[in-house]
Amino acid sequence: MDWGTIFEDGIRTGIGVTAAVYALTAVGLNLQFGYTGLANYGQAGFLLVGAYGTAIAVDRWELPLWLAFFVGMAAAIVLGLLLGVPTLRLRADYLAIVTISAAEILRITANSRAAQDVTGGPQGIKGFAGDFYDLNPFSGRFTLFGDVAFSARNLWVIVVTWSLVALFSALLWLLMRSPWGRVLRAIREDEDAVRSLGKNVYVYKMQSLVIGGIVGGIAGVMLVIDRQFVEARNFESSITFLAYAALILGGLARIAGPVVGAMLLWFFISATDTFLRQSIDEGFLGLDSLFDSSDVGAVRFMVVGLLIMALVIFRPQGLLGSRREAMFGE
Amino acid sequence: MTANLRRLLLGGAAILGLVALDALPAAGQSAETTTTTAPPAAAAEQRIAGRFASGATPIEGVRVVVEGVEPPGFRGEATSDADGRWDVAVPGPGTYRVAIDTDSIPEGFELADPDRFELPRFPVFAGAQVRNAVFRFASDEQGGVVVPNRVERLARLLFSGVRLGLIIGLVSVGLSLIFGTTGLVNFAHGELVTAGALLAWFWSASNAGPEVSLVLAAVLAVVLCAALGASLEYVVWRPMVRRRSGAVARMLVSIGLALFLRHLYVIFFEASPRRFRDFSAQEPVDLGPLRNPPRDFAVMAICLVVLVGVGLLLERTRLGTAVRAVADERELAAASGIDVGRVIVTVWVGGAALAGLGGILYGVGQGVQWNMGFRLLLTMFAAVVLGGLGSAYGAMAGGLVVGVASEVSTYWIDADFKFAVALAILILVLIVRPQGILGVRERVG
Repeated sequence: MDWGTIFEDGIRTGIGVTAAVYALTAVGLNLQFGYTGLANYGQAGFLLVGAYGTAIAVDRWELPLWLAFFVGMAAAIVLGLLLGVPTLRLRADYLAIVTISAAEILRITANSRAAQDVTGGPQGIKGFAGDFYDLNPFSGRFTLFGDVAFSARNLWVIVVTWSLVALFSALLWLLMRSPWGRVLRAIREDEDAVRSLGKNVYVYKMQSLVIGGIVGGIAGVMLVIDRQFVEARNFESSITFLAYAALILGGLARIAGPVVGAMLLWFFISATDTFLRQSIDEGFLGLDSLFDSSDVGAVRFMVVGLLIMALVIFRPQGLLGSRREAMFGE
Repeated sequence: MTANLRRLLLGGAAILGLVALDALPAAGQSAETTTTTAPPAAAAEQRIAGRFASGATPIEGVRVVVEGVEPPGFRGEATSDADGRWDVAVPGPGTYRVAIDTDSIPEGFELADPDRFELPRFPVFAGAQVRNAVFRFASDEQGGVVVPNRVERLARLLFSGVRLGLIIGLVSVGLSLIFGTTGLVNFAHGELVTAGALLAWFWSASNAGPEVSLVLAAVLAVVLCAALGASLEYVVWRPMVRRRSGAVARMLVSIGLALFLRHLYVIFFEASPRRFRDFSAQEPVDLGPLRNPPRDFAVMAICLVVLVGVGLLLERTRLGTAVRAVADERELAAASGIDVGRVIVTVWVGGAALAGLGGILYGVGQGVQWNMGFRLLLTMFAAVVLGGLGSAYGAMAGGLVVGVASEVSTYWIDADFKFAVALAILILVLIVRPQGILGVRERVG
């Protein structure tokens, strides 16, 4: 058992692009769910339209990447409006059902052969982010400590993505201190009370859904820029629920919640992955008789599922949250 | 884990070679996976090959995809030539999934059994050889080509729509009643569906299982699903209600539970699709415009009988009346002396049993896979919302509408989008009539 490698793998993933993308995804969810109480279970759909919108604009319409980025954002806005119109006047469960359904439909559609001319179907779209990497100011290899090292290319994506996380976290902090933010929290606590004060609850909810969706869209763009490849498989609904796990772990309705949650979650996931692989190789604790190496990916999701259940039941405020703010509208 | 699990279960018997044979029908049942061995090829490579023909007419331009199951990673494609022949070179012995791209089948041809478009676990053994994968296309007695006309195609789609709709109705009753009685939108309901199908498959068709008949396995699986539903109520949901957790919290827990169960299934049963052994190789029966194996009619008959039975239970028995009362207005029911806790356990037991049964019936036609329930979840939601959340009859009617609409839609649009039709229905209903067709008009906002 090589505990050093386990620790280093955890750190590498915990500060890497994946964790940053999930942090950004969870920042969007924090606005929608943590602050406004909107159960958006289709955040993967926002990532998908952001990513595909950008990739298609570059690859098919030959726009420069920065302009294509805004196409992706526009797609996220449209999706938010489309989902919000039929559901935001109804109970919270309807939003949950419609958003998860829409995200699945988008994934199936993007993957279908009928959409092949636009989305590339199962082949996806490759290599549209050249513009992004041309701007890379780094060179050589960057070593944090031990084996935790990143190539210049990786470092560039990591720095940009975490900067975006910082930017949107700061923005969220400002928004939540404003009167607008207080209305959102009030909606989460008691919608009818806010309505009786003459506020248009529907419009506030819609704004929250759309802004959170845009942040999700940006997360999707960074996800596929990192891979230089967009395919529908990247946007399974499990992305949404991993982001929920990160958000609840860190703390709902806390600015730092999604950031801390995503880092810890991915440290934990990566470290357990390595631990399991090593245990299977070495026969540690008899784990090799229970699992083989192809099961490691599935074990990850089992653990995340259990984590979500345990957190919501026993510690809904996560690590940083206040219990009063994370009671899920009891 | 599966290989290890099986080894444990069989007390260390060397069954690894047999695992690859899981999906093979018993000898003499069908020509589907005839294992004609062609003369050894000159090159020291292995190939999977075949010929598509309807009677004596070769079929050109059908795309075949071969994917590695064991070991995974390989992917190859071929398209049939003017003589209907195709072949794909594979990297070595192992188990492969051989599937026809059904969209590439030219107009005028169709598979003898539309559900048999893939051989999910096609074994290639060591030694240089060509393995023949046989897919059968429909042909009339003279060996000619069968061309279904428009009316026939629509009638067939309508038939499979009703079949799908009855199954969706069956599995949605529990989802709707659980919502009605407890207020839980259960995202893990699909996993109960999968549990039924996987357990029945394991006991009837897996080499590691006892290989009993599917009927017996199905009964056992439904009982176990009912027990699973009841234990979830006692272990997870009742304590949560006692802790006064809100609806959103319980919804999130159901998602965590769904993730947990789904990936538990992957570890125990592997990710590749499976088929039941019983009833799998049946000659299609011609019935007017329809051409279906007898199992399809049996599945529909079982669904109908069970749905009518559920309706009678709800209407005619005291317990059924109590269930409807609690689903309608929980506080009032409790005030009039109904034991709400007992009713809720009943609903979990019944709903989970129906879900498991629906999963088995779905698996008889469509095969069994770890994520089948999750893929059905969306159509279940559409059915339940369409019928009115909380109503059992609404779920049945909604299921039928959603099933028929999504199947028949493939007459005009690509089959990939048939689930999108369910979503379209869902959104339309929410805009026009949020309480559903059978729901009571009340404020749901």
